[in-house]
Order: sequence, then C-alpha cells, then structure tokens
Amino acid sequence: MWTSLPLFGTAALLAVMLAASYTFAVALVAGADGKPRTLQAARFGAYGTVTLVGVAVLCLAYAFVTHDFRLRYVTAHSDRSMPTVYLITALWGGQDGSILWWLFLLGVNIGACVKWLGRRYLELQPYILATLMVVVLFFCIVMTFSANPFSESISGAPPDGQGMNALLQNYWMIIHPPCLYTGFVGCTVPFAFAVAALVTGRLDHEWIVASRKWTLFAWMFLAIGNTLGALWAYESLGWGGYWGWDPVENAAFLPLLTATAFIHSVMLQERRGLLKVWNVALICLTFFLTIFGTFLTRSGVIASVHSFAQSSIGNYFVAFLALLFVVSSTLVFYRWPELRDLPPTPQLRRATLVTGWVLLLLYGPGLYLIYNLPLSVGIRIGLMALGAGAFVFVGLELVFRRMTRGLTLESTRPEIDSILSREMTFLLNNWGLLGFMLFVLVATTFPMISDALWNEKVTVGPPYYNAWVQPIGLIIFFLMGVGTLFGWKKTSDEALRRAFRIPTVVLFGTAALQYFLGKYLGFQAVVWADPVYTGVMGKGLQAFNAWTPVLGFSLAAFNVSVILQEYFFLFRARARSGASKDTPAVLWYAGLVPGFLHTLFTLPPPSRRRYGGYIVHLGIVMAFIGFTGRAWTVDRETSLSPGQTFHIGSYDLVYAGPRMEVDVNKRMIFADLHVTKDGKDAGTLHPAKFIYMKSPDSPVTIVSMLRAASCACGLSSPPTSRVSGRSGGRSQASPPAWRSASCSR
Amino acid sequence: MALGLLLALMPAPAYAQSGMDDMHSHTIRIDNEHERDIFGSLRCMCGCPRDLLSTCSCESAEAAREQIRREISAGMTKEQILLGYQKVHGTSALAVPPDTGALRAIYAVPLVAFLGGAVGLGLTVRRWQARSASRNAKALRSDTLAVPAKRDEYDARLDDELKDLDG
Repeated sequence: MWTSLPLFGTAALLAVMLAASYTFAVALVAGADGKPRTLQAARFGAYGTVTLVGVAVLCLAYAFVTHDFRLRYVTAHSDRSMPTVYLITALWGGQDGSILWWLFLLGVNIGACVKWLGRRYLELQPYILATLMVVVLFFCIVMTFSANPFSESISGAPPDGQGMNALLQNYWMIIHPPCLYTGFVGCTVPFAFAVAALVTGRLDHEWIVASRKWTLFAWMFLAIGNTLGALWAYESLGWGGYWGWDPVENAAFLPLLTATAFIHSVMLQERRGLLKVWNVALICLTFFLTIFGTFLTRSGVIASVHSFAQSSIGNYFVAFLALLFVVSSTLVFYRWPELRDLPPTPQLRRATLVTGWVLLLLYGPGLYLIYNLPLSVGIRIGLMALGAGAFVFVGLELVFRRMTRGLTLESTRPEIDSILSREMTFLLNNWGLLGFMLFVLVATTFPMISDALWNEKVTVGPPYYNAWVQPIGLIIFFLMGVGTLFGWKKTSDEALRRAFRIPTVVLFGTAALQYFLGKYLGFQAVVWADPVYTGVMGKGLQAFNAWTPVLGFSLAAFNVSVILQEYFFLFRARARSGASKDTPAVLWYAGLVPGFLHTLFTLPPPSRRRYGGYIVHLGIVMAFIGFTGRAWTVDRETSLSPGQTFHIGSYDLVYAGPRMEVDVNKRMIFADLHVTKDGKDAGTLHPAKFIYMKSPDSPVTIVSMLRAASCACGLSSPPTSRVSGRSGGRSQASPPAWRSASCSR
Repeated sequence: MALGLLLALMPAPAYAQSGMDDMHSHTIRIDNEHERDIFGSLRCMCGCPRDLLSTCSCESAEAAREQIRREISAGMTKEQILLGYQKVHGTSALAVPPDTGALRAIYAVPLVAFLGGAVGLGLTVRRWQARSASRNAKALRSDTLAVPAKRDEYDARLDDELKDLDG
C-alpha cells in the first residue's frame, strides 16, 4: 500500500487549484495584452491543470483497486468482495468521488477544446480558457473544503469496506454516469464561448459556429445518458417504468431541452442574424441548469431516490449559481447594444447596464408586491408568471428605444419575411421546448417553493407529470414534423401544398385506420383513465389524454412520412443533378445503409447537418411510439405458487419455482416463469432478488424482460420456502409476489 | 430571490443514498384498476422518497392498501378516500398537489408563461414581418427604374440550384 496516498491525493487537488488559478490569471493577462506568448503560457497552464486532475483521479482509482480503507470514501463505497470493474465504478458511486470524476471529465473536455482551438479564435481563446478555469476552480474548492475524496478515517483503516450501494452494482453504472456527466460537462465549453464572445464583443457568427459543434457533442451525451438512465431505472429501481419523473431525472432532462432549443435557434442566427440575445441566454441557461441539476442531486433539498448523503456542498453550489447569474446577466446587459446590432455608444451601454440591474433588483420586491395584491390567487400567480420573463426584457427594450430614438436602425433590426417559413417554425419549436422546460422546472422545484412560500409540504408524483406532459409533448412532436416542411425565408403556397400533401394523407389515414380498426387489433384509438383532478380542468386533461394513443400514433406516422419525403427529395435532387454518381455503386449493392451513409457524409456541410438531424428526428419518433405504447400496456400484480399459471393480456405465465445462485458477493434468488403467447412458447423470464453480502437488508429487484415478446416481470419479495405450522408439517412453497408483470401488445 | 430561496432551504431533510430496507419485501397486491388508480394517487409515507402506494412494497404501504380496500368495500368514493388519507398524513401524501388555492401555481405558472410566450412571440414576429414588408416596399419602389444586373441573374440561378439540391 502506498503510505502517503491520502496526502498525495489531497496535494494533487491543491495543485489543480493552483494550476487553475495560474491559468486563469495568465489567460486574463493574455486577453489584455494580446501577446501570443502569454496565450501560449495559458494554454500550457490548461494542459497542466488537466494533467493534475488526471493524477488525482488515478490516485483515487488506485486507492479503490488496492482497497486502501484509510480513505473514508473508499471504505464507504467498496469492499474486498467487489469485482475490479465495480471498484473502478465506485469512483463515481458516491458524492466526493463523483465530483472528482466530474472534474476529470471536464478536464478531458478542456484538453480536447484547447487542442482543437489551436490557432482558431485567438481573440476569444484567453477568455474561453479563463471561464473554463473558473469552473475547474469551483469544483476544486468544493472538494478541498467540503467533499474531499482523499480524507482519511479518524478511526484508522477498517479491515473491510462497507461496500457499494447494491443498486449501483449494475452494468449500467459503468456507462450511464460517465455518459451523463460528459453531457453535463460538455455544456461548459459552449458557455465559455458565450462568455468570451460577450467579454470581447465579438458577437458575430464566429462563436456561434464553434459553440454549436460543442453543444451538439454535449447534447449527444446528454441524450444517451438520459436514455441509459431510463433503461437502468426500468431494470433496477422497480418503478415499473423507464421514467419516474424523479427530481434527479428531471435535472438531467432540463439541460437537454434547452440545448435542443439552442441547436435549432442557433440556425436562425447563422442564416438570418436573428435571436442573438436569445442564443446567448439559452447557452448560459443550459450551463446554469447543469449546475442547478447537480445542486438538486447533491444538496438533498428535494426528496429523490438518487439523492446523495446530505452535506454542506449545496451552499457552494448556490454561491456558484449566484456568481454565474450575476456574471452572465452583467455581460448580457453590457453587450445589449451589440447584441441588437447597434454601434455601442458609452451612453447606451451605461443605460442598458444600469437599467438591467435595476430591473433585476426590483424583480424580487416586484413579485412580492404582486403576490400581496388584493386579487384572486389565480390572477396574482398569472401576473407573477407573466412578470417572470417579460420584466427585464421589456424594460431593456424600452430603454433601448428611448436611447435610439431618431437613429436609423432599419438595416440592423431583425426581420422575418413570412410566417410561412422555417424561421417561424423554429421560433415555435423554441417556444414549445422552453415551455416544456419551464413546466418540468416548476414541477420539480415546487415542493420547496410551496414549503417556503406557503408552509405547505407537497409531493409532485408521476401522475401529475404524466397528465400534463401529454399535451405539451404532442405539441412539440407536431411542431417537429411541421417545421421540417417549411423552407427558409418564405414558402410558396404551391411548395407548401406539395410538401404537406403526402404527410397529411398519412396523418389522417393512420388516425382513421386506428380509430376504426385499432380496437379489433388491441390498439384502441382512445383509452380512458381516471382524471387527476376533479372539475372542468381535470375532465379536459382526461379527455385530451384519452385521445393520446391515436394522436401520438398518427403524429408518429406523420413525422416518419415527413422524414422519408425529405430523403426522397434529397435523392431525387441528387439524381437530377448527377451528384448521385459520387456514391460508388458498390456501396448500394452492399446494402441500403452503406450507400445511404456515404451519401449523407458526402453532402455539403449545411445539408449534412440537416439530413443528419432528420435521423435524430427519427429516433424521437421511435421514442414517441414507445410513449404512446404505454397506453396499451397491462400491469398486474399477483402472488403465485410453483406450478400456478397467471394470465395477463395475451400471455400465460407459468411459475416453475424458485432457484438460488451464489457468487462472491451476493445471493441471487430467481423465480423462473415460462411464458407463452397465444399458446406459443415465448421464452422464460428470470426475475430475481439480489441480496448482497454487505447489505443483506436491502435486496435489489432485478427485472427480467423478453424484449421480443414485450413482456417484463419483477419481484417485490424474494421467493422463499417455509414450513406451515397449520398444515401439520406439510412443506409449502410460499408464493413469490410479483412486483409487476407488464406486457405490451 | 430564487437563489435566496435555495439558500433558505438548504437545511431541508435529505435522504441518504440507501436502498430498500428489510421492510420493503412485502407483496404488492392490486386487485383491480380502481384500486390501482387510488394507490397510484397516494404516496407511501414510510419515509422512502417518492414511492407511491401502487409501487412501494414496505409494511406500512401494505397496511395502507388494506385500509383503503376496506374503505372501498364500505362504498367510499375515490375523493373521500384521498381526503381521508390527506387528513391523516398531510398534503404531501397526495401524488398530485390538490387543485386548490396557491397550490394551483404548479400548473398556472407554466401555463401562463406558455401563453404569455405565445403572445410575445406573435407580437415579435408581427413586428419583424412588418419591418420586412416595409423594406421590401421601399426596395420595390427604388428598383422600378433599375436594370437587373448580371450578378442578380447569377444569384437567382444559384439560389434555384441550391433549392433543388436542398429539396
């Protein structure tokens, strides 16, 4: 065992802090003096910081692998029976280590970004580096003063550790947190670009083009991370579903929504110079939400199945969130004239800066006054909600108009040629996504808002979300398809007719088919459920949601037809222009996919982006089909004795009996079920309870799935054998209780 | 204000990252959809975060389900059962915040913001469109005497070709 490891680890963290501080200072000097040598020094500083973070992570990984139980963190999250792979994943299995892991992934991102920057964006680079170093410094401070994974146990090293949480000893643990964290930290680079653009005043397309690439990278990992998390939740948490609207799930989902909005709205700035303020605000908000999500996970302010142990790190996050808010707002107010394409006079700049901050400072008291107005609660809440977004922007706009009175601004003000344009649909898309984000944000934080404002403790459970997200989700889903059919600037009536003709036929055709034939095939068009509220609103929501199956399914068909039509137009245009000959015929002979992919990769960049985006749309369609399919899912809970048969939907499940297996760190008790569908063998399910040696009181549910047969099963209690006294010593297998058996048609 | 609120709430209770205890090993029995609906509307108050009576396998959830079954048999409606459970355990026992008083903010705030956003978007787009229309009108007036340049023809052709390629 390496005797000085705890000290070395802490020293590595302090060294990261020093290196990041040095890099931050040198980067600011480089920004001020503009000398290439100073910038180079800052770049080296960044590489050095990243290397030191790597050293710290290696130290902790080494401590886990060598069972160095002098470290409290290692003791709390591992034991000697754990396989090496889980010893490595234990690194991010608890709070302190996960922050170090976060910092490591941020370091990798920073390293890649500094390498990629090279000689690009020389004017922005110093401030990009400085911003990135501030984020590194923040995480270092949190670890050094509050969550040091290298801190030692006061009582000395125990002979063995306490082991990792049984729920985390799962293969998803290997891939889900790193993916999600990569998505989170990926949002730091676009934020750094935005800050650098605001500081330097270079607010043209330059930073947008760069930050879009990095946002796409972050978006991809956020999407993968969320999806993997959903799969993990289905298999391990036993909620009986992929998404339980847990605050931590929501926290990971929020930046995905704003990043999606940014990926779309950024095109408006690139092509038409629109939405400059909006894009800066979106990228800042996305980063803000990643930190806010981490705060929700770590502080324990909201009850969540994911919550880490309570600690004081929440205070650090609040302070950092405040810093982010103040810096971002100040920079946006300061650059307001440039963001509105005006020559920035000192007078105008001063006016927007002062007005922005005065309005922000009045914001809290303003909301308080509105809240205490002698009006009905509904109106007061409405006014507060309206004020929430409009207050600052309207104030700034008024100042802007006052200050620019008499100036000729026509050439610089944003324009839109027609509402029948892709610009308009992208605006609507942003409206939908931001509205969805706000809905999830309010619902997630509502328990603490309600507790603070009205001293009323409430729970916002899945039924609430499930009732409201259906209309919101379907609006966005509809806009996704429609937006694709419009062209830039203005779409002629003839072009619109041509674009909408087939998808509209598909939409109504699918709806009609499902409405008339669905019930015979088990895919009812309308599925009624009980309302979540009594009264008119409850009935309205209930009625809308009852129609979700037909709406969701027909909109999915509509979206698929839109995407296929777009690809058809692409290949037809390429065939007409002769460009299709660029794809070697052999690739088409090899199959549709190689030819298709070659075509996609050889398109000019703007088209590649567009048609690549349609593949993502196709993935979203698949997800919506899955959401819609939930309407036809049958859930049943029951208890069975060996040999007993259980009928669910078109399936028969025969319980064969319990079976136990043992490995080095757990007992696995399985309940084998033979599944037949319509009399034909569909396979065997093996739901189980895993009972870990280190946590025998916390059995973990392992759901078993027959994906091909769309059937899943989990246990609520381990199948056991006991002697029944009443039956005179007759041995009886007590029934295992099915946590849930869900089958979809 | 929001940050202040966050700070004020910092000492709020947290749940350790622990799995189920041995109390969470009971059978979940749900006999019909009416029961599922009621169990799914109520939170288990055993201390586990966010589990509903329809999904929690702890002892107290089992007891609560039995109690509710008795209430259903006695002919109580869903509203009466929910109200009774709420009286015993408080508002936080409901999975959906009640649609009363200030708690309406949970859906009112996003809805008003949604609608406000739509109005704001409409007004903005109208203004942008009006600006574009006014500029086009001016351009049209000044172009009436102008002879189309060769460059314009080339641009138009290029636009057409790109449009074709773009679908």
